[in-house]
Amino acid sequence: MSLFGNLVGGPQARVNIKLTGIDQRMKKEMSSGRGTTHLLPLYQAHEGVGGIVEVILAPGKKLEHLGIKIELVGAIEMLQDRGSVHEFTNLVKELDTAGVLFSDKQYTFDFATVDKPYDSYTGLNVRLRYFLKVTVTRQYAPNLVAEQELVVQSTTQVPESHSSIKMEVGIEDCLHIEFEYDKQKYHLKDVILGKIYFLLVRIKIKHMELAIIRRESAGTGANVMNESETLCKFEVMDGAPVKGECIPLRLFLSSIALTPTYRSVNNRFSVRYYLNLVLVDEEDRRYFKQQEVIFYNKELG
Amino acid sequence: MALNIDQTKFLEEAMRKVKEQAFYMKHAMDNEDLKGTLTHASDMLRELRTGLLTPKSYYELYMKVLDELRYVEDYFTGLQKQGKPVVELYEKVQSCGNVLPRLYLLITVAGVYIKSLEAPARDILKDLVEMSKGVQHPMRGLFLRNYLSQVSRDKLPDVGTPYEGEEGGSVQDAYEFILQNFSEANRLWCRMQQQPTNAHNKDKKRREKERQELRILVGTNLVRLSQLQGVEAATYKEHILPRLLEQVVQCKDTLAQSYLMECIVQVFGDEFHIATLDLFLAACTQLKEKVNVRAILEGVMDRLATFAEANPAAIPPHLRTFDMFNTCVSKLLEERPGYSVVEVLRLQASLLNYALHSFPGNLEYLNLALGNCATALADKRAAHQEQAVIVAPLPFALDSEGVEVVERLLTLPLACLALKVLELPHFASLLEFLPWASRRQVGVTLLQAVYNSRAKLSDLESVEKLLEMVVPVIKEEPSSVLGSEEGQALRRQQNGEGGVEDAEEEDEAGASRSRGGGSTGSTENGKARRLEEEQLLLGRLVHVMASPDTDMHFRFLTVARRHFSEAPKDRFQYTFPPLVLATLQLVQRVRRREVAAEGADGKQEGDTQGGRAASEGASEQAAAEDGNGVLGLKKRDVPGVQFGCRKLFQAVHEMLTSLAPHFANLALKLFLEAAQAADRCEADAFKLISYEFVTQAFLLYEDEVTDSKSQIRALTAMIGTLLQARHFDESDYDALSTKVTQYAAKLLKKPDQCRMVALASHLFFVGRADEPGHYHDPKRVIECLQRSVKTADMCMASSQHMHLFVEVLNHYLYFYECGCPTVTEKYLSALVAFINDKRNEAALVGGGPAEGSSRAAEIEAYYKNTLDYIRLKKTQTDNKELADRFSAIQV
Amino acid sequence: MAEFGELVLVLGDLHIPHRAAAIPEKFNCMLVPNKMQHVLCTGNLVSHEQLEELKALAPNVHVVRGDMDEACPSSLPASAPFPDTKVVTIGELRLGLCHGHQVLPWGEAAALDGLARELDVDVLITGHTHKQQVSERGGALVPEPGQHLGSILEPGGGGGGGGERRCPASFCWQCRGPRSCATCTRRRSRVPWT
Repeated sequence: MSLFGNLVGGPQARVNIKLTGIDQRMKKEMSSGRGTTHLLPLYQAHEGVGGIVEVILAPGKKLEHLGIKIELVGAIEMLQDRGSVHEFTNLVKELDTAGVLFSDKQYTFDFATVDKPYDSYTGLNVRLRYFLKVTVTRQYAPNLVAEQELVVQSTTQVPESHSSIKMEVGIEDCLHIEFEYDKQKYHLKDVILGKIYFLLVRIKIKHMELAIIRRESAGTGANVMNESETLCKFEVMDGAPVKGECIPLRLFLSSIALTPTYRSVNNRFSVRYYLNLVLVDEEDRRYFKQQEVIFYNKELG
Repeated sequence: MALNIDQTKFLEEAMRKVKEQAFYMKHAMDNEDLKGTLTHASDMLRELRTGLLTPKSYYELYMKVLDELRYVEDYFTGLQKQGKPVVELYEKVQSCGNVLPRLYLLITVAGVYIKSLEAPARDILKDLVEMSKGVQHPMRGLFLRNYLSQVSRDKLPDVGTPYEGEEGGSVQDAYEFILQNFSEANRLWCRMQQQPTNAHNKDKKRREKERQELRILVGTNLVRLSQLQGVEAATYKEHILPRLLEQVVQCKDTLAQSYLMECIVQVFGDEFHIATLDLFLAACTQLKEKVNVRAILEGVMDRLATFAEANPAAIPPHLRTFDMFNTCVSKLLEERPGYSVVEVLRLQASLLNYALHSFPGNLEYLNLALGNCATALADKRAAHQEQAVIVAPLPFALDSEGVEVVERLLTLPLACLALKVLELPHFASLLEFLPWASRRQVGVTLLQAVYNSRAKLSDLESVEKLLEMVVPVIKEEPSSVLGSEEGQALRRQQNGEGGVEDAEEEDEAGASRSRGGGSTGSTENGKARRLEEEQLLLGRLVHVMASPDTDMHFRFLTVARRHFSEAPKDRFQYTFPPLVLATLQLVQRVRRREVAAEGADGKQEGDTQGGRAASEGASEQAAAEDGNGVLGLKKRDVPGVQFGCRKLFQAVHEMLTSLAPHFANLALKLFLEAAQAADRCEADAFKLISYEFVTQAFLLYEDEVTDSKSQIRALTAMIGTLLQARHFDESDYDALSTKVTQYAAKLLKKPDQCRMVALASHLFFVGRADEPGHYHDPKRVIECLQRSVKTADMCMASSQHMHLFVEVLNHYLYFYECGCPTVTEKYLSALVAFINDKRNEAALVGGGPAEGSSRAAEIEAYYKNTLDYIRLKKTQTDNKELADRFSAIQV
Repeated sequence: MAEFGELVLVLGDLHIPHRAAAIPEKFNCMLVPNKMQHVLCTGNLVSHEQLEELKALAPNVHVVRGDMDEACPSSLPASAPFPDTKVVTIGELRLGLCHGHQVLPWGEAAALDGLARELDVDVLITGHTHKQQVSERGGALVPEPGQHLGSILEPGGGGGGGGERRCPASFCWQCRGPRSCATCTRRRSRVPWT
């Protein structure tokens, strides 16, 4: 056990986290916020997280440690403001007390009733993530650490109310339309069906599109950051309708990267969605009306 | 120009992109890359979003894209065959962000989807036709809907297709689908015009033109409807046509209404039209004012008429189609007081045309249509006169268009009606509205129709009526400047009345005139030619009038003469000969009656049988039995005959006397014809008349006939006439013959003298020697002949020298054969010898036939033939006596 | 048609409009274009229209001048007036065509014979008398194979002949012997059509 050996001979040991039933578990692609995505195991809020931590020694080495622990962390990270991490959950389990390992060793762990109140989320300014972290504390050498990220998703009951969105908007003597979306709440694989009635058209409309906008607000107090992001632009009409025309609308959500609507997650961030109906006239003036819709998860995935 | 260059550029660029994307798309297909395929297909289809192209260029691009879409369809079909549920594709293509490519792809998948039978055709079609509303741009929308129509064409749940069924739908779904696609397409099409513009007239025009180019995209839907097997007349009537008409009426677009109504007429079957005529006509009255309803009505009428002609029993009579059309037209006129007179007339003309074709022979309908026109015109005239008092006191006159229509209205029924026109009271009243020239034109057509129909005029009223109708053909417009101009042209043409050659000269003069003075000459010629044709046509009318009763027949001729006499005198040459000759023809019939009556008079006095000669063809005997017996007509020549031959000859004399000052040759000829006719009456009473006619001819000859060709012709006719005559007193005959011979001897040219005197010789030996009762003066014969020979001998310089001898030789032969005692074999032998000498002389001098070898050969042949004839006669065995006499001639 | 040889229509003295309104219907319906190769007309068409109609019937139309053609100055094509006589060769037959009013006495065989000699023809066709007849020596006028004479009509009647209105002669396509109002005078007995 020498410093030299440590520096030159490579790690004395590796630490792996093996989750129970990982092969069978559903996985979900998740952005890490820097453009890279990982396929991560998916847990529901109430599910326990268990598995084995393996400590594998390099051949002929031993490992002296001051203790081994595993944490399950749920954290909200502000991406702009690095370091601002708020752990809303941190459960620790001691796996071993200080000692020396002479051979590989496995520890089982199980966070059976851990609190995972929020869904994993990666946004523009904020990230909510869960991870397991194993720490082998050592006295002279750096700690050995292993992390395993998880995705947490919750499903919602199908809302009882299926009321539609109906709205009449207009600019006096210019444009008068009435639009209708069949629901207020859509699950993420849903189809938005709608109709746009033109009651009065006195502008030269070039086209009409429907956009889905995600509005994310993160932070508290004076530090709140709001970001809007257009997730999709979907042209629903080409050309100018006349009075009395009714244009159908049908948008399949499944191909769009949506998350459920989140309201005030841990009082730190919200994610809301809006349908934005935009009319563009021949001078490229845009007339629009935004309408919030609720997205929810009907099933995992 | 710049626009065209731009168009080419834009189109080329778009085509290039389409090809490029299509290439990538097919590459992706090969790699079984669905996502890539769809991406590139969308990119390709995005080119159709352009707003830069004119309909024509856009169409080209569209066709190119459609070609490529066929690969997409095949690709989807392949995926479906591999087991991929089409519904997934159906959803997948809808994620395309742009509506136009999305819908093209959707329709393409839908085609595969319906074919796969994985979902009911009905539902898919409904979805498509609804979703297509996303394209509201008129041109792009029209093309998209056309694509929809094209793809769905063979996938409709029509009767007898695999797509029909409880799930797939029924023919009702099929036509509902088409109807909806149609009305959407029509709305887009109409909207092109309604789009607000900067209101440049040029823009409007251009847009209208573009719309015209796109109309087929709308009309295709109607074609599809008509192709549905499951649609029957009842369905069409209940469910389809009302919707179509509603769309048409409500779109309030002139172009669309015109086109679609026409389309409906053309596209659907005759049975359908018959079943729905009321609906259709009702819609016609609701169209925009500017729509040419007449053209639409004419379209339907034409179809129905053609159909009725081919299937006479197909239109149930209770339908009373004519009344329906008539009601429709009346309603139109009532609701559109703004219609011009011309338009009113045109509408009536189409109605009339329909009646003509569908109800041939229905005079009531024709009269109705004509009456409508007459009323309309009378109203117009009344209104005009009211105004005229204040504004301008000009008489009411139709404009040229109106004239044309009325002319057509009146001409149309002629071909099939001919004389029945006289039974249409409104025909004449309408005729009055036309200017003289048009009335003349109608008259000409009427005459032609009458001749073509070969109908005969057999009552006085009809004769009067018809002649009244053709008055403008007969005479010139009273106090018309134009007429006199025509007259001049004609007179110029007829200056050379003396003969054909003169006319020829005149023609040359005319030609040189026109060379010098531009085209006036030829138009004058044209006018003269036209006038001549008309007058000849008029002349034929004389022979259309016929009555079994000779008195009535003569009345007809008298009426005709009265009318013809009112014409300018230069027209007499055309109209008088038929009148004269018809009268002479009639003379024979009258004469038969007279002879019969005279005979009957003698035999059975007091027979009170009152009939007149029943039929023209009746034999004289029949006429003798019942063509007499009219009582106590003392003043008349013969009982029962009001107008006797004498009366007829008198009429002829009058006519010829008025013709003579203007057309001497013609009058001369006709006098001779009259003389022959009188001679044929075979009665002493007429020989004086005959003599008088010949005398008139002679007087004309002396006073008027001056050029030698006409003289020869006149003399030939005179000699011929005298030879034909049988009833002259001998002294009269002798006097006349002597006169003619003198005329002949006084001719200016020697060869003419020679020939005509030889001809005149026949006057003195009529018939054969053994035929009694003929005038025979053999001495004069030989005198004439000898004189001819002498004259011929004086014609040394003439090229006809030899020919004349041979000619005279033939005259000798004729008389020799007839047995004229003065013409002996000595003369013949001497003449033959003489001719032989002459021939030898000529051969010596010229060493052969010198001048005009072909002419000489002809004369040689003539001479040889003559000698051959003599030789033949010598050997003739069936007439020994003649053969003997001929043997005496030395050849 | 070829086996019957060339069809020749012979007609004359139409006198339209002088003596008739039209060619009789019965006859007219036989006047079908392209049936005949030759039309021989002995004259007295009197109007242009009739000439045009004849020209529409056959490629070869020969017309000579009638007496009424002479008398009506404007009834003839002024540029090329009809001749008095014309010789037409059909096959090996020389046909002479003449109206006949120039030959005196009218309609007399001996006189017509003279004209035939002058024209040097095998058959002489004349009109004017308005009588249907074949010259007394003609007998059955059966032209040699390949030659056919159509028959003639007499629309008007009257005039130089008996003046009777006659029904038009029947057509003799098979040449059993034409009956005609034109006078056909045969001259040479040696030709094989006796």
